[in-house]
Amino acid sequence: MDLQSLEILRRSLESWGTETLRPIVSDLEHYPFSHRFPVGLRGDLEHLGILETGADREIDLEAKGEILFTMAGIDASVATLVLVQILGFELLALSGRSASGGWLALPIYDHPLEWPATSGRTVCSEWRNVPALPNADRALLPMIFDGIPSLVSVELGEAPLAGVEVSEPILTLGFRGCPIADLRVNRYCVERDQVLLEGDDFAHKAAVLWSQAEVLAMAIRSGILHASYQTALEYAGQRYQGGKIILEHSLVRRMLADFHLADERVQRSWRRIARDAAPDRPLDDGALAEALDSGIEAAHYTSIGIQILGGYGYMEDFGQEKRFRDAKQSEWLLGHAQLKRFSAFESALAGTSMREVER
Amino acid sequence: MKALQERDRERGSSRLEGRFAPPLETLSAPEISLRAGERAAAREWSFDERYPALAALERKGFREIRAAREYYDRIVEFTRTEVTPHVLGIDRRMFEDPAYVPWNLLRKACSQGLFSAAFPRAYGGLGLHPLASVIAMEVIATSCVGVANLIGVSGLAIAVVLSTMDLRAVRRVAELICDAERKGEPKFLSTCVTEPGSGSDSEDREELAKARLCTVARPVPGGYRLSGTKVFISNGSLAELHVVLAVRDLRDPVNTLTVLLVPADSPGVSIPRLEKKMGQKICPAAEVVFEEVFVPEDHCCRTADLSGKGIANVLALTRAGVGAFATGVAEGAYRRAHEYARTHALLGVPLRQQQWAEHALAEMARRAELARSSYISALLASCRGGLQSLVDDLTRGFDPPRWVGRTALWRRLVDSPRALRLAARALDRQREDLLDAAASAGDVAKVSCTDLAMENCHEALRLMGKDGMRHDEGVEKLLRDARLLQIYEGTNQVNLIDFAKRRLRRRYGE
Repeated sequence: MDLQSLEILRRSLESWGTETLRPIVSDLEHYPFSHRFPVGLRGDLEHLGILETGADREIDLEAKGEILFTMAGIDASVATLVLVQILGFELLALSGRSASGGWLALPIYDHPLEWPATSGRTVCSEWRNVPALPNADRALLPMIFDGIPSLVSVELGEAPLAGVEVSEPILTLGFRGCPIADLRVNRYCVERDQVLLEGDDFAHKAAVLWSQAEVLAMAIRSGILHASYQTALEYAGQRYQGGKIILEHSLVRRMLADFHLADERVQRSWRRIARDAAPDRPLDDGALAEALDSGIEAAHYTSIGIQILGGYGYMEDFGQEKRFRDAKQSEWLLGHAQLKRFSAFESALAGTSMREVER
Repeated sequence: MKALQERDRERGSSRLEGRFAPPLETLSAPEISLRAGERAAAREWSFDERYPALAALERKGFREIRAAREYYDRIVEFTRTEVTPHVLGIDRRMFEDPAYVPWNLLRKACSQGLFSAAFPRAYGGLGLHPLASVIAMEVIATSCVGVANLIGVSGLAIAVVLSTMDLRAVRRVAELICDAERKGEPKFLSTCVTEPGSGSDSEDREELAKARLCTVARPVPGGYRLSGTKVFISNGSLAELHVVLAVRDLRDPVNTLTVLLVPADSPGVSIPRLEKKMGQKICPAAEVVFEEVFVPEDHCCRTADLSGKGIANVLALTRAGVGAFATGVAEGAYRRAHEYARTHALLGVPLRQQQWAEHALAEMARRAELARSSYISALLASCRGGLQSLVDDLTRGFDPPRWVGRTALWRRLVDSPRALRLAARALDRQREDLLDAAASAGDVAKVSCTDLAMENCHEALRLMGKDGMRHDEGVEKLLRDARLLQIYEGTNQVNLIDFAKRRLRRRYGE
């Protein structure tokens, strides 16, 4: 996507986010209790042209990152929801299928190494913490059939499916506006046409997709960080303590200076990785390391963002506590951090990338 | 990936048994808590195991530790049966109903003397050393720091009143709490310090002089007219009595700082809002507004130099108390992580058999031990040079039984001008070097323990992976609750600056 188009998209997003999304952030946060999801949200996102970016080859990783960065600055929950849709659309595009409208659920908190293994087409398994599941019309479930990585599509309608059980929405630490539920499948027979992708080809594509999605997760964290920093800076310029505004206290200046540098560092990092990423290859270990570090940094500095606001930072009013929770939860996107570390290291030890399928 | 999956299949399922157990979310709220509580409760440590240094002191003749040991056993049992099974359910309910109060639990806390443990027997308390009371808070905080705060925050108010050495006021608040506890219907105190324009600066003499205060106690015939706003007041909406820090003259806050006892039902007192906090939801925080509230003279604590020794005395004790809260959280995070590692696997290998996880758990246990040492040390320093040393100096260990405390003679004695003079002299005699040492130890304990607690919460969540994010696992709540500990009682940054002023400047003569 050219720079001009990207800029137009960013401004549209910011405008929509400020006018439409920001007023409903509080309602979204209460979704696990209210079970009320804004019905117009999907339409708005479609109208903005965001959801189809997953299937549009013209829109590169950096552009997708910009979308998520901008959205995360307003509400990281919705940014995560969009991330799920982007990945889901991309998987559908890889399989040659089209999306039929409605939300897609995809277990993006699972690392590929955590995909459930099963024997035969009659599946008994469980996927925990699946984003978008409570509202989803379709779930895309990666699993291992008799050792063969497969992507299975399960249509979820109003009426419950035999052998498929979706739990009540789960209350989580962060991203509460991106509803999460558990999916249990008990003696569910998977039909041939439900298998969208399978085999080594799928394993390779999934590995690349999951790896490159780390950049998108970084973009979300970066958006959260940036918003938290802006709020802390604004507050520090107005709050008095000991006879002067706290921005004039050197300790606060140092905290904000570190925060600013971290904000810049993470922004530059994900943009550089997105620009340099090859479309059909997973990220290199250096990029993965930066992605993992961004999760820890985001949690750390959003905590600083709370600390600068003191008691106000801990209350819901200023949004800092939500950013901290969202940043912390973003550490789990795309799998257990320990698995990512082990997986990367084993690849390095083996001398070849384990994220590419052994042919 | 293929090789790893094959290894996984050889080792059997990557999920342990019971994967089709009913989802926790379909259980009722108390059952949710019970599942998490049961998982968290292994054999509880004995007093000697948990506090070996205190056990050593006991052998040296520190008799109060025996009473603390016995109280510890009672509170462990109380926490196991009355707190742990319910905390998650209550927390969940607080999301939807911020005004909810777990009265059942609080009544049961009365039966354990949790509100009056450290009060003299003369006033109806258990007469235990503060050590016992603070240890009890650590034990409860291991399960839920919000509950510990809900119960323990009245102690902050008592400490503020005690620091004025106005024994008449101390008697009044102590009897309020103790009498209510005896009836099984708890009553609360709140400490109204923080204002919309003034937070941590209220706790430092130099900062106080320049603070943007708005709450004024204007002298009028017969008392004061109190006007202003206090924010983030723990138990503000529950308190029977507000212990309010106000200045008589905004131009000279340091020398006119006053403590007023304001009944919550006084005309002009209102609670316009309950704060929506990230954590510790069970302990309500409210905005308290005072509009020309008349406070009679005898509701004003007679004091001098509150902004000097007074504040230091309070903070030396209460920051050790926050350290105890944080130690409980650190311990709770470790236990939950340990239980999770015991019952879950990663790639088919039980977590507890993976060395990296074992190491992470050991680090967590180490942090909890470190935190415990720190707050105990601060507490003992407070006993040596802080508020407890004042009490010991004044009472010489004399604590008559309750029936004596109820006599008119005792009350006349405590309320007499002579008693006030004795108390003032005790305050004058208090050594500033020891007080500074106690306050410094409190600063260090508060900062260290709260930071260690947060590290443990982060580590527990990392170890649990995506399960850590779920409310029903109980660990994300610990993180949300623990975060507040780094903010109240002065932010950690302010605590460290206070430490620098008290300890480092004294040492290096700056």
